[in-house]
Amino acid sequence: MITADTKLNHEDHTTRLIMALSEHAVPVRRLPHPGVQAMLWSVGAMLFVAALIAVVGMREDLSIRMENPTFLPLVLGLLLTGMGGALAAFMLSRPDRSLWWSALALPGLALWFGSVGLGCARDWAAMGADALPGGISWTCIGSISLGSLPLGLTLAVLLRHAGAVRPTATVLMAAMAATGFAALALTGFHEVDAAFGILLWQTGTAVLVMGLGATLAKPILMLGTRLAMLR
Amino acid sequence: MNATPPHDLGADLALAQAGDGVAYHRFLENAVPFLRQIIRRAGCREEEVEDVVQDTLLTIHQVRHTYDPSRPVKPWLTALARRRSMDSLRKTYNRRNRETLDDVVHETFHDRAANQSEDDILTARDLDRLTAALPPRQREAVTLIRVRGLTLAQASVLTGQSVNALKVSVHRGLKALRAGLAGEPLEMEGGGTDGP
Repeated sequence: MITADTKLNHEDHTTRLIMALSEHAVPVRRLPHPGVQAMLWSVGAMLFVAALIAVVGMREDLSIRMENPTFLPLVLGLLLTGMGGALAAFMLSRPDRSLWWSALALPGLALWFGSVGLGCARDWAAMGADALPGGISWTCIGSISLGSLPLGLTLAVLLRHAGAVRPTATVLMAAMAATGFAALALTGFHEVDAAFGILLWQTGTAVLVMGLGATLAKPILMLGTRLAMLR
Repeated sequence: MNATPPHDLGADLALAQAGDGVAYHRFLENAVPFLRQIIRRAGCREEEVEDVVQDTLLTIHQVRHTYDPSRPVKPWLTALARRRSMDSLRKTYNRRNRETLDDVVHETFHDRAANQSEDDILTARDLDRLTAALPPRQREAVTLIRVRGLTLAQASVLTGQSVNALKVSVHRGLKALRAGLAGEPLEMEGGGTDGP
């Protein structure tokens, strides 16, 4: 039961807290506009993708793959997921921005999943059960998981303040951005023709990484805070 | 004609970002009535409102660098107050699901401690007295972390003490309180400085 005394006591604590906080009013560096942050990170991610493709070597069947009607939409979908996811994550990390910004990741995601789905349907129509992949593609699984790790960690550092705002939605968008660019790099160096292979091992791993990111959002942002303190 | 001009919360917060303690104090003080209004509207119970206000103030302190002075400040404050209100409502809901209040206990356990008379039970007043007798840094650490439930990181921001120093202060403070509750003379480990 709340009494006038307890209420006064609580309000007194609030006054003391305000005193304590204002005594610690050290200057803070204001964050740049979320759009600027997203653009700079996306440029960095594209350089990372280019460097990865340059180191591993561009796939030799690129000219043949370009003739496939689902290849360019897939590449565009991955790029849009990466950039849209990054902008959505930086927007959602700010307290006063709407949750609707998360819709930015959807066009890219729709193009990515849609082109993979369409490829699967075409392969199934042409080959039936023979279109199903014969084994596990460790290159796909490894590239998506390891490729999204440095991209995701840089985002965790840049978005660490989101822990107090919208941790789950922000990290989910960040995971989409990181896996989008990692899958883009994979598409550039790994020769996979079978659409079902791409669906299972590339897209499947990306979805798992996104789910893991959303589940572990708070620890990931805490890790980002710790990494930022190392600088 | 004597009316005080309305405070521009956004301008004060922008000054606070630059390290102006006076503007920061003014901003927090003027933001509190607005925060209370949002928290009440979110459905928090009256006895929880002030706790949620304090949690919101701590969050504001942690993320004050995310405010963009070219944008209105009230949506920024509203989002943070609603966030902390939701956390509080979730906590209350979970506690209600786990615990059952039973005013009359007809049967107790055989253990002697379970059958103490009311006089034997230490009241909150005793605990307050013991806490007040702790050295200042231990008292501050115990109150913020164990009573108010702040994280070590939040308490560190608030007190300016390092996380490790806070851990030591909490440990020593609790040890002294335990000794006090057991009726032993209050021994202040580390004295008034309570450094590690």
